[in-house]
Amino acid sequence: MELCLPGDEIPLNGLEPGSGVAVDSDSGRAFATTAGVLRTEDEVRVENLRKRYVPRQGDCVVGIVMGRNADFFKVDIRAPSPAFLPTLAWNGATKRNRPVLEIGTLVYARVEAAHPDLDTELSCVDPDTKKSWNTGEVLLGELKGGLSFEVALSAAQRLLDVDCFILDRLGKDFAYELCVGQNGRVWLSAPTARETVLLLQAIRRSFGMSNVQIEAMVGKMVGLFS
Amino acid sequence: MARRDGRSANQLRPPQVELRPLQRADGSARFRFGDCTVLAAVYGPKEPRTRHRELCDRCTLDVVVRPRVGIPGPQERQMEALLARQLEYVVLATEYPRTQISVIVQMSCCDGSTAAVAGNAAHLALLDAGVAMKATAMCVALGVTWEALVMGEDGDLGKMVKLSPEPVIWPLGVDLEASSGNKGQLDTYRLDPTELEEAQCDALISLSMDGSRNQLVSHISSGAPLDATIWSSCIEAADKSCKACLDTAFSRVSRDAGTARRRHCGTVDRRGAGAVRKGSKRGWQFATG
Repeated sequence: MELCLPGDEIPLNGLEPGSGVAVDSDSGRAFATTAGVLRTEDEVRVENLRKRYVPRQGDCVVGIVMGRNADFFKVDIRAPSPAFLPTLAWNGATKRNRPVLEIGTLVYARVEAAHPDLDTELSCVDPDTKKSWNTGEVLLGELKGGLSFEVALSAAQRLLDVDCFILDRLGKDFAYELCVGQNGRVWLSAPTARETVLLLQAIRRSFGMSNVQIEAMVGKMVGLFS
Repeated sequence: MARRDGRSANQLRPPQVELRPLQRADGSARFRFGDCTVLAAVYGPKEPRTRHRELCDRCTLDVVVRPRVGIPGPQERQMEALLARQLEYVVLATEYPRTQISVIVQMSCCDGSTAAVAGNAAHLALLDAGVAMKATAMCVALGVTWEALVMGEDGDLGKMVKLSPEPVIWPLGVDLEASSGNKGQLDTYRLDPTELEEAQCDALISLSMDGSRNQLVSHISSGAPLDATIWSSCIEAADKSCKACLDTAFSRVSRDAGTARRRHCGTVDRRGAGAVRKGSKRGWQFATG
């Protein structure tokens, strides 16, 4: 595990520079721009406990509707500026049949266009299904009920792993629905309010733990609370 | 000359770093040299408060310094200008066009070298927020005192007499040629002065050094004017002490990253037969017990 501070030189070894690594245009050397752990899997990047999300095209994010217009919704995705979600960017939406979201609603959307100089654009169109948005079977769209909380970006990436230990372990004993946005916002819903809060605390606490510790914590939780 | 707290002239007070004391800010840090404590918070990059503050190709850096008591006055404005100069050097402003990064600095306890501690706290808060930076620049303060060598009765340079309270550039009794360039004067500096020592100094310098490139980022000096030799020895001392400060900051970062490591390692456990997971792996997961 290698740590770096901003300004430290990083040998690329043929890999592409990722987030947190910049290449000096004059000399061609790569240096770190943030402090954190250096990861060299498929690209060289620096991982830290950053909270602000920088929009990237293709990411799926969970946002909160801040305002609305006739043509689009203004959504807060924890980025430097709010993003825009057109009201017609939903499966099967027409002028007569389009969603009306209240301010404060949670939305799971995909980033369509993200350029630092322009406004970020989102979309809830899911190309995989032909179903309309009002059926509720589409993956992208409004998230009803439950609660949302915020985590660091690298923590959200951990939760999105296919074999995320804490989520699998909690799934053995509890029934819940979870949606993790790549912007660090997580939506969680369980049958009762008590369980929702329990699961929230468990997920929050698991970020600093190893698998053995998670197992012990969840076992104790199940023993005490169910 | 031994100092009141037992340090030598070249010794810093032990630096202490606390990262993320504030949960709601994007980044925050508390830095202290001995008793002098400063808390800094970073909010951003975010939308600028008013449209006219927006710069089309870079971010606006907004520094606010609040004193421990009272309303901010000209000293706070001066410190804001100093910190803004320092942070503009390190932050890669072109990464965040049309945004604003606010750095709020609150003096908790003032015990000498406040500008240096504020600079360090602001820098560490930016590190905590993950703002893109091109260098790590730490700051340190130095107090310069003159002790003049006065010719004794039998002609040898015996007695050391301090000619304060006002700073005197050309000490009495020594001719001008001999006094230029350290021959007639003996300048001593004290690294990281406390408030008491600052009151006794003739000049006070705060320096911010970029350790990896060995460059001076910004400086502020008050008191009597200083010549080039004093400046170069101060810069050298500051360079070494900034590198020592960096090691402390680094050990703090490594302690936090240690928790990140524990998240990553560990055995991968396959799910039991009872759990069912549906939906795309992008995020929508159903799990039934």
